[in-house]
Amino acid sequence: MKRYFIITGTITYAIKCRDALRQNGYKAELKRTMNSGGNVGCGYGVVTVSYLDEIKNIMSNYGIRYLQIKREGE
Amino acid sequence: MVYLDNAATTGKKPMSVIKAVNSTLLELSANPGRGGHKSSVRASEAIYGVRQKVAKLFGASGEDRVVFTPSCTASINIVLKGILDRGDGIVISSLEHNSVTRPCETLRKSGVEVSVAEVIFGDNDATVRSFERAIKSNTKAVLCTHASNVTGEIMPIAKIGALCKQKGILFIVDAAQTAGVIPIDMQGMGIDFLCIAPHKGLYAPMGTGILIAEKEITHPLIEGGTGVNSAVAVQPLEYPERLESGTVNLPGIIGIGAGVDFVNSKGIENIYKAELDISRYIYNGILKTSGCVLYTPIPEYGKFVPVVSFNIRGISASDTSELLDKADIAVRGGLHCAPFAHKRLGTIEGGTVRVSPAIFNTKRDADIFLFALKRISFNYKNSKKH
Repeated sequence: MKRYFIITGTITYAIKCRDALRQNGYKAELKRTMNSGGNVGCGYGVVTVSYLDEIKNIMSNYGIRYLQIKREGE
Repeated sequence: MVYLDNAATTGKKPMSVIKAVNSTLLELSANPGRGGHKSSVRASEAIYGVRQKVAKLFGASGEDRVVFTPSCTASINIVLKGILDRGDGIVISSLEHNSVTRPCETLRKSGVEVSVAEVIFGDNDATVRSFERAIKSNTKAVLCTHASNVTGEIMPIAKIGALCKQKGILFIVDAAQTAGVIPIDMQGMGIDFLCIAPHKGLYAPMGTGILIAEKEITHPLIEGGTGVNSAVAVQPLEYPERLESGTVNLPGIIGIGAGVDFVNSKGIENIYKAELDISRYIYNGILKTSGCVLYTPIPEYGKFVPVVSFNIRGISASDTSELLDKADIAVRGGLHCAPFAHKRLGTIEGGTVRVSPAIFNTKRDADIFLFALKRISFNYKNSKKH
């Protein structure tokens, strides 16, 4: 498992993303960012420790749109 | 004061709603979705929780489709002006409120074809056929009130929704009089856009509205700051933020959440039965009052929401309302912003007096109202003798 930062387009999707990860047993926290997935300006995301494929599956299963998934520190 | 104007706004709010609004102002007064600090995030989470409750109550596909607006009228404007273009057609019912007919008139002037489907009283199948006849090749959407704010008639929404699905047309429902009063299941009823006045049947504060948008709004009515992607020139595509530019009404939204909890705790079916029982009691009392005229049959369960319209022969609706107000009874006289419905009733000149109970009204309230009504009618009759 690695530490990832999932960048979402909205605070609503960030909360939805955090809750979905928690429901699947992963720790997840909201985080404000200035790097919002290639767009310029403020945004929100979720920091979690998980597997990349697992994160993508959860996002897909819960219908959560995200802009980017980054390894923390990259 | 006996408050019987709950179709305009529920006059008494549950203490849980008042406390929720107060505690928001005292403890949660931060701008949601506008910062990374704890207060802002807590405010965002609180709003998200209300979106979840609203989505569940109305059978929406997800909490991200729940948009908070300033009013049900704003919700209707956002949909109509957000999906219709020159050359498109819309079909509305013959019972619509000015919140629908006025934006439709503006759209008509800009090249949208507006058609009206006649509502056939007491015959839902005939009403559905009216909608079917009004639908044309350019019809993009159908808009129908869930229940008339003048007569209380409940419209056959599920049947109209099925018709729209069959024709591939968007279906918009004005649930101002029904949300929190009778069950609504967007998925089951085929509703694409649901417009709600939470300060009525959900007992939330005034200045609140909800739009549940299952389909896309191509032109947002209001654009501006959403708290994300701030350097990008265009409005974001993601919901609900796409339709929520500007600071939202946090205390009001938290009040909606408390209102939903209140309605769930009572049970919509129980609320409806209690309110309709009072309506029927009032209806029968008016029926026995000399000189009064009623405009519908007695409100039947499943066919009417708790609204009764009447007049005293020889006294205008506004004078009757004023006389009742002097007796500390709040009702609404006039056209109720719904001239279409009054044309149909033949009351367009003076309107009617509308009585609309809510869950907090009692049989005692109804008796006080009926006693005052009898006195007004008696005094009028006596004044005519002299």
